Amino acid sequence: MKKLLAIELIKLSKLRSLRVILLIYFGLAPLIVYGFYSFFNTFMGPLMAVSGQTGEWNPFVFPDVWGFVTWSSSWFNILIGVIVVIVMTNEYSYRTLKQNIIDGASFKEVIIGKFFIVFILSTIVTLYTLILGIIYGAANSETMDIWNGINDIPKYYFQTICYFSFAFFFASVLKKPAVSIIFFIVSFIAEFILGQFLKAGGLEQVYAFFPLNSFSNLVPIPILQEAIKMAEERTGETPFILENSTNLLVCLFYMTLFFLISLWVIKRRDL
Amino acid sequence: MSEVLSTNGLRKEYKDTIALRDLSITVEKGQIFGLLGPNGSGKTTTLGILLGVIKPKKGTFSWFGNGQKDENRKNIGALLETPNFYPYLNAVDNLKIVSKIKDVKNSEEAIERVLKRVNLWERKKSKFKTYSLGMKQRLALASCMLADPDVLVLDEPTNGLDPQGIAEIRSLIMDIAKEGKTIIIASHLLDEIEKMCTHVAIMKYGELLQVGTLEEIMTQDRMLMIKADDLDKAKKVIDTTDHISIIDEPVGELLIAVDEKYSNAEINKLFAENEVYLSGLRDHKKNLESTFLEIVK
Repeated sequence: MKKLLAIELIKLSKLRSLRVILLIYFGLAPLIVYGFYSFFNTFMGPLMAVSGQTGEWNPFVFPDVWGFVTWSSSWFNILIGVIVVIVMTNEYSYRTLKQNIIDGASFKEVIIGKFFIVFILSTIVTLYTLILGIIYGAANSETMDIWNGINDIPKYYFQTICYFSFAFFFASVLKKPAVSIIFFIVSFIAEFILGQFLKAGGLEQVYAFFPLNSFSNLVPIPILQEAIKMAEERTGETPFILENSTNLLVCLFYMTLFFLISLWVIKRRDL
Repeated sequence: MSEVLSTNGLRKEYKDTIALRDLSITVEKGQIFGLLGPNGSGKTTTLGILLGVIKPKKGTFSWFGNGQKDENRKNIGALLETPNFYPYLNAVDNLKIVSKIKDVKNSEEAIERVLKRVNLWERKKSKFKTYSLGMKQRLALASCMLADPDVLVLDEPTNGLDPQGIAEIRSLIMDIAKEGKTIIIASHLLDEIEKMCTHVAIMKYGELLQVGTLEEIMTQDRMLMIKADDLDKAKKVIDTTDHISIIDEPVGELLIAVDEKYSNAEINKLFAENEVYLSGLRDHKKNLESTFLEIVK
């Protein structure tokens, strides 16, 4: 395992596209967090009123900051997912996956190595989000109650692993970087549209088990409770949302499935 | 001699094409085994299967009498088709990856040793993508030698190189061969194979046509170069006999393969009886190229 990690770190250390995308992420993430803050306060005022809040909503105080930074950062998962796609498809275009096998690596080792990349990237973005949360919270809170609500961070970590596994799955199966990136991004839109049809058809329970929807629900929108209350008042019905533990199991199932399908596809195809 | 590789009925099919037809060969320790054949004969498919990157439809193979385990490939240095490295990494980083996969001990020393051997030590910090084709091939050979393997598998190692590059690579391979390593080499360059190989397998359309030592392959039949006023008529005569076949048709002459038991006089008489009068008949020194053409014709 240590050997596989070392191999992947050598590959990643000089990869320019990784540096560029991570720099974009590091630069944009704090700005996007502020962008969402402005958006909620400008357009979501009525939601605040539902929960009896008045004035401007400040999501940068502990413990709200954890839910807010993790949810805002989760929008960057697509961008980081692109790195996963690039790293995996590079192995096909450079024919190095084939060479690694020729040199004596097993297919399982190659796939585990790539999953290390998923974990490395997830760790980087989660640590950055943690630091952002601490900085925002410390700057805006009267008391440094860091631990309250920090369980959003491990949930976010798990969410990034799930999203990146999904990107890895497309890259493994489709091999071409552009095609994989397009399918990866379009799948978000496609699942959302399909979900709306299912909801309209009274099949909300089915949509709750869809992969991207499950991943997304790991770190829900910070004003979710307010949104639920508003929906209940308007329709008289409670929206269907999976229990946290069930949702975690669904996500774990999909992550394992993506890993196994990737391994199966790579093992049975000629390189 | 101990057996390094054995294949038993290897077969590969692609939709409506049979790329490899039940190949069974054995390679012994210390042999320099040439795999010959025209394009599409199944050489690369064979090597791809043996190196674990192509799945056979049928058949089995075994390296070192140890089956098809992934571990076996760590004791094989292989270059299949083109040198495959990470273009944005330098030679040292690329070889570090190989050394980790192959569990090479003292990898830094090993990397220095092989890079010096292929004359790339001075360019060790240059990215792979900046290398010339010859340098890329040399780095691939360095990678093959990194773990000091018992076997080298080389698929067209001189492909695309200029004469100087070909000479460099050939010299390197000859040096490696002197160390007693087993080398399996697929090449179009028959001259190269003839100079290097102890054993040869000749393939066509995925089928093994001949296999044996270089002498065994080359002593089959003998060859004559004939001249005649009417070569078309001479060809018709050849078509009617079992013991003569046309190998090549250089301008104004015919290169023919003749069964060992027929003398030149008997051949001359055969043509004369069919009203073809030869103006020239001389023994043609066989080489691997003419033997190859005879076998795959």
